[in-house]
Amino acid sequence: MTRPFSIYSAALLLLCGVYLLLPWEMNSALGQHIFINIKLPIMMTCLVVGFGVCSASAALQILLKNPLADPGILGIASGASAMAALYFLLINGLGIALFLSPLILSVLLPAMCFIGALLSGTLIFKLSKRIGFNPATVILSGIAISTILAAAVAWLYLVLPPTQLQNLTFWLMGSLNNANWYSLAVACAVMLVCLFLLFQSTHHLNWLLFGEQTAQVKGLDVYRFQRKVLMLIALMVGLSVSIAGSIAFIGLIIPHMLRRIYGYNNSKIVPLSGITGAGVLTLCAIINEHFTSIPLPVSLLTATIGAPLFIWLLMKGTALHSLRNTV
Amino acid sequence: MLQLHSLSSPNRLIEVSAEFNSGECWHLLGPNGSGKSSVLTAIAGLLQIEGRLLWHDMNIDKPPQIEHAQFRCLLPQKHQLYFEVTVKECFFMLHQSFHIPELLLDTLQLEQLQDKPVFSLSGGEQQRVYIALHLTQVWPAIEKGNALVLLDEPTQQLDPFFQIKTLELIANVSQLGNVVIQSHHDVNQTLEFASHAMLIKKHQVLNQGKVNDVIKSVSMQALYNQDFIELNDKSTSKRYLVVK
Repeated sequence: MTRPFSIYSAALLLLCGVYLLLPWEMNSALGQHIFINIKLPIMMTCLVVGFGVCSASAALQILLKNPLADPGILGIASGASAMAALYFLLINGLGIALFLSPLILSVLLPAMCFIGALLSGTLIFKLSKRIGFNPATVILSGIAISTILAAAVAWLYLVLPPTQLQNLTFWLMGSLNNANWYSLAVACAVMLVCLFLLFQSTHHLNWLLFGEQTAQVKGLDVYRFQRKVLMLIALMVGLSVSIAGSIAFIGLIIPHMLRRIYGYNNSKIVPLSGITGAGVLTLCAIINEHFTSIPLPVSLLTATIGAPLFIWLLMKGTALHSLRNTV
Repeated sequence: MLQLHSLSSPNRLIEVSAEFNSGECWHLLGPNGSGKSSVLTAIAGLLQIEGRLLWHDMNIDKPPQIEHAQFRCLLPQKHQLYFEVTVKECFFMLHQSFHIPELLLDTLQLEQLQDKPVFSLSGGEQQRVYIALHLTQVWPAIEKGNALVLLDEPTQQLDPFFQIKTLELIANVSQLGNVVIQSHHDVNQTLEFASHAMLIKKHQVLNQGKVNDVIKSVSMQALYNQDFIELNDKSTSKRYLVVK
């Protein structure tokens, strides 16, 4: 039971070590500055976002009884995107940025995105509650709200000045380089609490796999539990999106891959998804650092590598099950 | 001992009162949609009800608590499982243990099904797995004779061999001192395996009591709007009801 955890954690630590330490000499002042103000924040972003997106998705797929669920489907990501578009239009485009202090500017984009994510999340809850709260209505209202917000972003595309257009495009494709210590400090603290609460409820997620009735007979207040976990997920995804933009595909592919190997026990899958997600993003950071001349958007990397991998995974079927005893 | 004091629920149940004693095996009979499942879910604490539900003088109204799951289990009529979980994993995820009680393993012949995904099994095989899965939840209480076992059509999709195996198993469970209540559609199996029966029609109790007092061709005709003939086997002095 503990073996995959130790192996995956060791791999994650190794990746972090490779990313942080590889070519930099810490002796020079420049080296130290880069280490503290660029590399460390990027690594923290990888950890926070990887854990946030992947653990949340793993839980969300069980909660919504839908193996296709990922944060995009809840419409939370699109709420943040709309706010980002608004930010680039109002603050940068109209020049309000000139009147704001650097400190405020450094946290304004993440803060606005987070508010956007929470607003769209709340809207989806309210809507699904109005039409009868259950997994299907959450998905339907999520799709409806995210379509509206995507349309809003498309409208803003029309009026954005060209320079801001590029900023927005990069943000929408996800970037690990946006983070700074102010926003990370808040994100880390909140994410830790959320992860703790989510990992605590994984055995209840297991019960839910057998349907609401059975979970209820086991003594779980299903409605309250669903609401609590959905709020946690919204918070985690909102935080991730607000510091790194929307990151494609890892939320879908990683829990699936792990389930193929280890089965459906959520006490394993939810935390392992988080560790793996953080590892994959750190790998993206390493690729960006050493193998490319310009920093590539993360979604570009995750989708380019992830989608073919996913197809391979689907074709491989249950053969991966045999990996259970080796990894 | 389980007592129902005029349980009511809008559009589901009207003033259902009953007393189920330890060691009794109850079958609920009635037409489709008459309220058999509603009685079971109400006792399981899943239904918004008026009235009182007492288990050995303890109030077990809604909502179900974790302590209640130690003695009360419900085999639902419709099973929901959305992912490709293996049989073994099912037991682990619901009960935090891979252990399946020996008796269930043998009676329902689950040995060779254990490592297969539930989706790949036939309907009857799945039903056997679910029976074992839900009984395992309260197995320690069953062995002590203080469990409340609720089963919604446990023999659905089973072949005659496993129907009889299952009904025997359920009757044995009740003889340990547990209260067992199941819904059922085969009148003759009820005559054979149940100790008591409750007839439910249009959300109300039509009649209840000892099986031989309740199940007669006249009462079955009133229950199902279908004529029955009563046959007697002189050598075993058993009664059979056959649809006319």
